[in-house]
Formats: sequence, structure tokens, C-alpha cells
Amino acid sequence: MQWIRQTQALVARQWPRATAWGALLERQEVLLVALSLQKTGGMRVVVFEHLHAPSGLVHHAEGDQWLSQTLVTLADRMPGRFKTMGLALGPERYRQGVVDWEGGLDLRRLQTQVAHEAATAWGTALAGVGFDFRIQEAAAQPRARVEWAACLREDVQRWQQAARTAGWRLTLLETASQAAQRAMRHLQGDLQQHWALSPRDWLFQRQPQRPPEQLEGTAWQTETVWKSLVACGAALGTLP
Amino acid sequence: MTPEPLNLLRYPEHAQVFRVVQLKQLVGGLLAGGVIGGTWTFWQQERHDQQQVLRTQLQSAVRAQESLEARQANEREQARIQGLWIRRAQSWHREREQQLELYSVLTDQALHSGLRVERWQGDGHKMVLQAWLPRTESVPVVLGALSQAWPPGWSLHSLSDRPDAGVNVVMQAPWPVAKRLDDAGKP
Repeated sequence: MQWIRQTQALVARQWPRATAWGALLERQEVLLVALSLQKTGGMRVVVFEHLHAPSGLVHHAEGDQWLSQTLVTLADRMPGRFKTMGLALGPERYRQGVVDWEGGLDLRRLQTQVAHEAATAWGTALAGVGFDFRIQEAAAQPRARVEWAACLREDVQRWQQAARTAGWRLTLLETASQAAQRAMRHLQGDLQQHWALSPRDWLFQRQPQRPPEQLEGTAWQTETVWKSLVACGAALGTLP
Repeated sequence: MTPEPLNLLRYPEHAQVFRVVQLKQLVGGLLAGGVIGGTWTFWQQERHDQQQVLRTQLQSAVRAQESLEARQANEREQARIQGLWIRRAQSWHREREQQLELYSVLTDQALHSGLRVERWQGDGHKMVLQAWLPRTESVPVVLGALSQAWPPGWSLHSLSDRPDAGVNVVMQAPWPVAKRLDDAGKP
């Protein structure tokens, strides 16, 4: 399906999407942002909604019901049509791990192995997890490290349904740390200076501004800054 | 090198599995449809051929039946016409016999009563006999003899004396009307 991706990239270059939506989903709160493409080529935060669930909601299903209603309410007030959204998950919503793989290039077996690891981590059946993985070292090596992350498929389906009901198409589901790293890599300027600014004043670039290695050891001032980065990173992840 | 980001929507590959399943179902459906369609077409072709053979046989039978009926009708018509001719021939035969008998009576009366036939004519409706008899008393005898030979009967039309001797007598009898051929066969 390489040609589909190439076609999508070509179309995206011809008609760049003006707005990207991202959200951080945690147990008791939702942070929703929209990044808008500027004439200068940068992207700024144009929508920033931080909503807290009512205190009485304990179970995940109740929280997701509230999420669905919240997204519908927000969608009614948001501009644009055919919106796509990236959703970042808080630590309690996913499991991740590393597998030592010796199976070479047999990706089918690797996929089964990762699914087994993920299902074991969640204590559910193989078909009960949604997951992804990446090989950290070259697969040609006798041993490779495979990093994986997984969440419950019933949650995925519920979130997809909630997004669809609200008029969004969920194209990305990732861990909060991955989204935060993406946001920091695309943030323009000195990171430490940005922590002092409001997220509405952040400026992101389509191209990464720094390599991942530079982010190691980077600290952010507050948890709110981190959540804002996660939501912005999820929005950036939906862009081709 | 930037690692590929993880997207938890990627696996399991339902879309790909669904496409493979769809493709398999499509191919299976096409194969099944082809087999069913081929079988149906073959069966229809066989049925069509059988019906064509049956139709040809039925047409032959119908033609044979029509030919038989035409031949039988022709034979019935021939038989009817032949019957008519036979009856007509019998009628003619009877008339000829009656005429021969009439001639015999006339010959006999010529010998015994002196009857001399002067004119004898028939026009298909009646016969008229003009004759001379030496005696008037012989008229009833001649009439009786003629009527016996010619069943419709003779009647006296005129009777007159001859200046020299005897009488002139004119007698007539109806001529049996010959029936038409096509009416003769009707009941």
C-alpha cells in the first residue's frame, strides 16, 4: 500500500490541511487542542479546551461516556469539516514493553508474539488488544529489541465511536510520551523559554526542529505544560 | 534516524484481514456463481435441445395427421361422388329399361291394336306420343298398356277422327325428373 501513502502525501502537499486536532485522554480530564496552519508555514494553537470530568465518574466506561458527550459538545462549537484527530493516552490507558526478538524478518510471527505479550500484560485474549510495535535495532541482527505499546480494543472501539459521533475521524492513537516528544521536536525556538509562555503562544513547525537525542533530560516546569505538549503532539501526528 | 511512531490503531490488521477475507469471499462467490451459472446454462441448453427434438417430432406428427385427414377427406369425397354416379347410373339404367319396355309395349300394340306411331317426342319434362289407331275402342287399351310400362302413367291429350279411317290420338306422360347429382346424396 505504499502507493496510497505516496498519493496521500502528494495530495497533502497540494492542499495542506489548515487545522489539526489532538487530544489527551486521561481518567478524569480531556485536553483538546487545534493547531492552525499560519501563512508563514508555522502552526499555532487556535483551540485549547481543558475539561474535567465530574467527580462522581469512577469507571472507565462512565469516563468515556462523558468523553463522547464532551466531544459532541465541543464539535458543535468547532469550525471545519472532515476533521481528523490524534488521541494520546495517559499512562493508565496503555501498557508498553520491550521484546527480544530472534525471529529475523518474519513479521507475522513477530506480530503474533507482540500480541501475545500485550494480551498477557492486559490479562485478556489476543483479539482483545490493539497494539503497535517497532524494531529498535536492525532486524538483520540475530537479536533485535522490539518496543511495543497496547491498549484494550474495546476502549479503542469506544473512542473511535465517540470521535465519529462528534464528527471526527480518529487516525492516530498513541502514548502520551510519544506525543509529547513529537511536540517538543516540532516546537520552534528555545524549549525552556516556551514553558513560560501560554500554549496559545507556542509556534510549531511542520518539520522537526531538533533530533530526539536533544530531548533527553529535558524537563518541563508543570504538569499542565506537559499535558498541553501531549495534546499538541497528537495533533501534529495527524499531519502527513 | 527518527523511529517510526507507534499507532495503536495499526494492529490487529483488521482492514487487511477484512480485505483478504473479502477477496476470498469475492473469488469464492465468483467461482460459485460461475459454476451455478454454467450448470444452469448447460441444463437450459440441454432442455432447449430436448424441446427442439420434441417440437420437431410433434410437428412431424401434426403434418402426418393433417395429411391423413386430408387423404381421408379426399377419399370420403371420392366415395360420395362415386356413390352419386352409381345411383345416377342405376337411375339411367332404370329409365332405359322403362323406355325399352315402353318400346316393347308400343311394338306389341302395333301388332294387336294397329297402332301407328306418327310422332314421339320428349323434352325432359313430359313425353308426347302422337299416333293413329284404326279403332276408337283401342284407345283405353293402349293407354292402359302404356301406363303399365311407364309407371307415372299416360293420359289422353286429344282424340280426333281421321277423314279416311281411324282416329288420331295424342297422349302424354310426365317424364321422370332426374335428380341433381349433388342433391341426390342428401337425405
